Amino acid sequence: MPSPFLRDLTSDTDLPTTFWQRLDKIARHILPTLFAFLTIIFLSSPLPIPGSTELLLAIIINTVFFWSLWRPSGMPVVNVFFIGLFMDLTESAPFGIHTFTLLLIYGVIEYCRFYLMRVHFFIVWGMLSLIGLSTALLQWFLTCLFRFYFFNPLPALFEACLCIGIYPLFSMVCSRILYFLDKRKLQ
Amino acid sequence: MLPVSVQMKQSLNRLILLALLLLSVGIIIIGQVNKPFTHKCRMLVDSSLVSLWNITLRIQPDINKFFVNFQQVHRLTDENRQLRAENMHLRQWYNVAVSLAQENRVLKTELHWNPEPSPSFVTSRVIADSSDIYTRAVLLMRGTGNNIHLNDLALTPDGLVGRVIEVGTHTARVLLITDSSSRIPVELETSHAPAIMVGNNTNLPSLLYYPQNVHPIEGERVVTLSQDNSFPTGIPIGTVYYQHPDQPSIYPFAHLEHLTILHVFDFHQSDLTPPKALGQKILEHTPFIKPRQSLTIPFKNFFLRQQEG
Repeated sequence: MPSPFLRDLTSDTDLPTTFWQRLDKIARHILPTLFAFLTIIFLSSPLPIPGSTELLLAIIINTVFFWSLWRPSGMPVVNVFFIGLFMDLTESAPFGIHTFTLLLIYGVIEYCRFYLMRVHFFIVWGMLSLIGLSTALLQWFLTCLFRFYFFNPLPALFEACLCIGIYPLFSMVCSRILYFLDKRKLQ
Repeated sequence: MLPVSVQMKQSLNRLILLALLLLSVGIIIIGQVNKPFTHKCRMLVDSSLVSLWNITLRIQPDINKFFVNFQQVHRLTDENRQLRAENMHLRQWYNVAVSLAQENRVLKTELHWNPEPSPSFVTSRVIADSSDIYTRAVLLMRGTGNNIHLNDLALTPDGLVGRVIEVGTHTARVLLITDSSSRIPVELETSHAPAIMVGNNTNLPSLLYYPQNVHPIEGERVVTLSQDNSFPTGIPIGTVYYQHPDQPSIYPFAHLEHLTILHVFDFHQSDLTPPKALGQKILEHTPFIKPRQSLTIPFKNFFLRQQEG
């Protein structure tokens, strides 16, 4: 979990002076989105990784959750929209479902971000669990609705479990990246 | 950049979020109303991503090797013994097959048998697994430019895999037989009873609608059954398997979890016109229905089947 002292909310208003600083800022802003896009492309290819479909959704939910909570400048709402749209275009789920659910996740975090930044890691994890479960169930419900078919809800629950389970590791890795970026910026 | 206050920035952000949420609802509605448009968009994106997926395909053998080594290194001896026994068994069957093929050839010559035209096929690599948790589909690196058409059958050397549902210029999407929307007429090879194979998003599609006096035998082979000339009879699919009593399912021959190369067959079945039945008159002067004009009503095949029955 990144330290709230490193959140650096005013950093976006600083005007970059040189070309390299400007490039560095752009790279910093597109890093999470680029990671999400590459994950979608990589996990869409036929790899022998068990549960890769569920893992893809879990990683994307974690990415949107983590970055829109700790570094919203790295995950603006427009980027969330395009990540969802890209997922909709590469998968064969009913069109628009991922865009809608990811934007809802962003909206919930936007609403309670300042509270979540001050609380213990386990409460943040609890919130992620709630969001992951709700998203999986909402996607299951919308798919059932648009396909006129009652799908087994167990894959959705597996997806939610995976989403909750990978968060500590994901959070640890992303916190390291955030720490590294902030340290570089202070230098 | 205009200097804006934090409150203003937050309000603006929320406004954009609301607008994008409404837009996403609009996208869902468009996706439901205009499905050909979404298919076209998906094919366009898939075609442009082919080169990126090709890069992941290059590292795929290494990943495969890693997983195979990881899973199978501890049971190599057992597997080797099992393979030797299986090989001996298969060699016996090979001899039987060769003698049967020879006998078949002789019998066909005796009958003045006209050989059927062999179907054309296109071999393609699977570049993306476009399944999600409610859909089972894969994306191929060949499209209309490579003579792939809608409703062509995708097979592996082991058996049936699925049907082409979307075709772009360079890509095609194949709906697997395990998808919940897949319904394929099949035949039980021992009893010759018709049935329907219904996908259920698991690896074992269900076997339904077989005659009441027929009980599918476990291990019995299941093959396709041509009912509307969309594909030929006799393509191997799998064997009957009972997960639960009285609920037969099919264990597919093809390894659907990990598909790498598929053969897409164009059987040209729709080009075949059945011969006219004896005594059938063509109403040449009927003003409403012209001869040889196909009916455009839904459930056409259903009505045809009823007439046959």
